[in-house]
Amino acid sequence: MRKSHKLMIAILVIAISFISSAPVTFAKSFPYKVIEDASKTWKITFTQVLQADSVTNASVYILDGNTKIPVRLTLTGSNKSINVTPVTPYEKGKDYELKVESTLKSATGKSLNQPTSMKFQLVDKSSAIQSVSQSSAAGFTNFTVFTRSDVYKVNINTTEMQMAGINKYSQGFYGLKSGTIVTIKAYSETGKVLETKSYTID
Amino acid sequence: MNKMKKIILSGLALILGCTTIASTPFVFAQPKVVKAADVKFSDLSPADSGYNQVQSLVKQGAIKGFPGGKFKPHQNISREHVAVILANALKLPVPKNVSKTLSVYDDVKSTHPYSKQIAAVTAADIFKGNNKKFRPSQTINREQMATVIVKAFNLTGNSSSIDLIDFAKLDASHRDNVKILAQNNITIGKINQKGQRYYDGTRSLTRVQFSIFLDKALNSFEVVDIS
Repeated sequence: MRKSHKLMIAILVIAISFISSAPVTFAKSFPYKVIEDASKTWKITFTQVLQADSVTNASVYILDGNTKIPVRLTLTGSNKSINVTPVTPYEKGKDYELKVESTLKSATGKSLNQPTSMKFQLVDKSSAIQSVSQSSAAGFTNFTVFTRSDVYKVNINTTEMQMAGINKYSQGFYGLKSGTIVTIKAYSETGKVLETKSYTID
Repeated sequence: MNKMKKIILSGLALILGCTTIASTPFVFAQPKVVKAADVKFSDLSPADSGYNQVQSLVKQGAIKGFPGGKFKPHQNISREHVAVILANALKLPVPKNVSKTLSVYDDVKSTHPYSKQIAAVTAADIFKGNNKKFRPSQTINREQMATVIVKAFNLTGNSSSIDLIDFAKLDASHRDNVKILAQNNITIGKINQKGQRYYDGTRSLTRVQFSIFLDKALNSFEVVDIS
């Protein structure tokens, strides 16, 4: 075997072992939701009865960016569900994330199999651009925009967004830096600008 | 003086040597894991299918077995025993008014030896009976068990397809629950001689089989819904 081949195999072996040893997180996430009720109570249902003293603001919480917002937690449904109610109303247009950590325990003492989360946003059904959300991974930023039903087209900066469902548009970009501001415009069928919104990349 | 020095020095050396030798094994000793001893049943040995699952359920206080040290693994399980094991395993709260909860049945009174557990599984919507009957001593079959486990753990289905050749033959009231049980990997069915999988819904369920299903379900603790 030639020296260069041996070297290549060695590099490959090292690379593969690095990939396989990378920590794997088994997080579960529920689909993004838009809500209209500023004081919406989320009901989280589990497969098992919960250990009441493990239901705390450390195991169940809502994030606004990196900050936990004050919530009230109540056990319901024979202790199989948790109601999460915000103490103060949610603000429009902000990305919130409901999170359940694996420190939560069942009545039998078992830890939650996997941390679970769900992103949501409070929308104003009367505005043309109802919600804007983004998710980033490996330099790729994907935007999702929900609109009013009379919106015909949505542009993000100069790019026309792809239709991704009823009143839903999505578009991905590579290499957008944190702090970059993008402009989102919603157009009517006649080409009139119905609404313009600016959005800052996380 | 020199002699004294020598004695002191050799003594010191001895003490040092001893402590080094003595402390070495303790430094490298692994912390000992203390395991609760297995509960012995005269009719269930470690080589038997379901032994580990039964032991796990015993240690959680879900199962006790029969007086005389027997587990009776191959005896068909009765509805009242399913109720007791589920109430214990899931630590279901006993409703405040047991008699009122049991009033939906005319064959279980508050004097029944398992009245609290039957009331607990009823309040938790796991059992509801049929024609005002709970039928405590009747056995439970595999498709009924599917419904019980799905209700007990709030299991929900997902998009994965299941492959059970007798699926269409299952009782309509349990079919969806067998599907959910399979989608949650709690059952993969049985295998026939042609290598095909089938569920065998009307077959009775033995105590050890129920223990295996329950242990699988107990090890799944997750969020099923956010609304």
